[in-house]
Amino acid sequence: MTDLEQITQRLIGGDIPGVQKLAKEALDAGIPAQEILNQGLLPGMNVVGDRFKQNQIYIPEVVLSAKAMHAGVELLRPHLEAGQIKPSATVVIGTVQGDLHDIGKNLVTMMLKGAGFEVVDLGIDVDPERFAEEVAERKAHILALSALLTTSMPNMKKTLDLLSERGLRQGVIAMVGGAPVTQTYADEIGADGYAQNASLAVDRARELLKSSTSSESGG
Amino acid sequence: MLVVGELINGSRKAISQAITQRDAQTIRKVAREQYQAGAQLLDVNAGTSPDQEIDDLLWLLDVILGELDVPLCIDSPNVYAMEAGLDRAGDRAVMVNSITAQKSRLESFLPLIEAHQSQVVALCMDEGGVPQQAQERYEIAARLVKKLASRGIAPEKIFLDPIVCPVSVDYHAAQVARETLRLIKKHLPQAKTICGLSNISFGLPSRRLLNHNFLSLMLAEGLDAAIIDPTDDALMANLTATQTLMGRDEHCLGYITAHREGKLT
Repeated sequence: MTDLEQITQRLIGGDIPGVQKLAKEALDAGIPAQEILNQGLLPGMNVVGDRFKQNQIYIPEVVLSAKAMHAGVELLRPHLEAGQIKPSATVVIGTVQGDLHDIGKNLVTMMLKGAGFEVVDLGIDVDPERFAEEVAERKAHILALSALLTTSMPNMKKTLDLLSERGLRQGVIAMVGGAPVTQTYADEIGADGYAQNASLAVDRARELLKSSTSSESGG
Repeated sequence: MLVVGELINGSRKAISQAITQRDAQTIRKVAREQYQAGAQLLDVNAGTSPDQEIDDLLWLLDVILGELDVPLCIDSPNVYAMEAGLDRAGDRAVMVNSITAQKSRLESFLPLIEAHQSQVVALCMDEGGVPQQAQERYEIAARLVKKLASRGIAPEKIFLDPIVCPVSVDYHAAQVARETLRLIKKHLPQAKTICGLSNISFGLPSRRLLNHNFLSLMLAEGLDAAIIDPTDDALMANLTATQTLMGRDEHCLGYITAHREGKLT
């Protein structure tokens, strides 16, 4: 087993000090930080995501692995040249106005970060104006909206409508989720994607990005 | 202990399907089963898309009111749906589920609760969300009781919900809920307490095991009501046994009766 595979295994096992120790050793041995990230850490999070989807592992284990991932990336960060930690995409995420639930949103945030996305978490009770501002400012590729209440769901639509009004809607992939949200509702309000849980949200985000970039290069 | 049956909830697949197809038979069956299993109150949550909620809720209420003489707990964060539901169910709707200390939600619900003199589930959360610490949750509870008192609603009518978060996300979550309950019982002894169970086990295997044990722990803190699945026989047996162990079952007659009725196995 190479050192990098060991890092992958430690990450899957949620061993935070282990990941830190091995990542540091790998750096000291002269392995480029980029390689440690791409061949050590990221494959580990992919395995964690897959196992979670298949109910082989549970939320606490995913949380620990994500924390190990984070610790590893922080250790590598000073050694990666600017622009080398190239996030696959920037996601602006938040719970919509009138809604204070954040457990699901936090899980999605964690899983996206683990998968290498740059995630800007705006927190709870976020009004459409703020979403629109952040999408523009961060040049977000994806906007992810969460709602757990039937009363707050209409604010998903309001947010997307405001983006359209500002001419921002075409430039961003809109994803929605939360217990009362369904694919039907996502279609109704013109969202681009819906996912039932945090792990599927990562898959969906990747799919949507892929199809959006391929259509861009095609057109 | 007041048992509120949780099964008529539009976030459950079978129910949402029955609502969409206006399948009254399924709703009647679920209502009757919960009632026969020992629910003293039925929670009714249409929980579908916002445009549909009022129609769906009124349909659910009509079906249940026509089938059973059981009091109802109307479950919606939507004040318009709540108003329509309370009007439709009249004195059969005894509980409003729910309010929070969020200003807009609280102010819009208060006149309704006052007019109907109903009981109310009050969640220990405010604009800032659900506090992580029990002390802060208790402080919200105290504020809610005070606010409701100013509108003439007695503390006995208020069911404070300490809020149950998944232990999978924060492994202290059950302890925080217990501690919140303890503080409420100590400082607001006239107010009632209520909680749901299933959230505690979200994201973990063998969820019923956690739900059952959590119910016992919360009962030990003096929980007054629980929103649960009364058709879960093992859960109801667990409830009976815990009440007996807590000295709430004179001469253990409740336990013995439950045994004779075959409810303990």
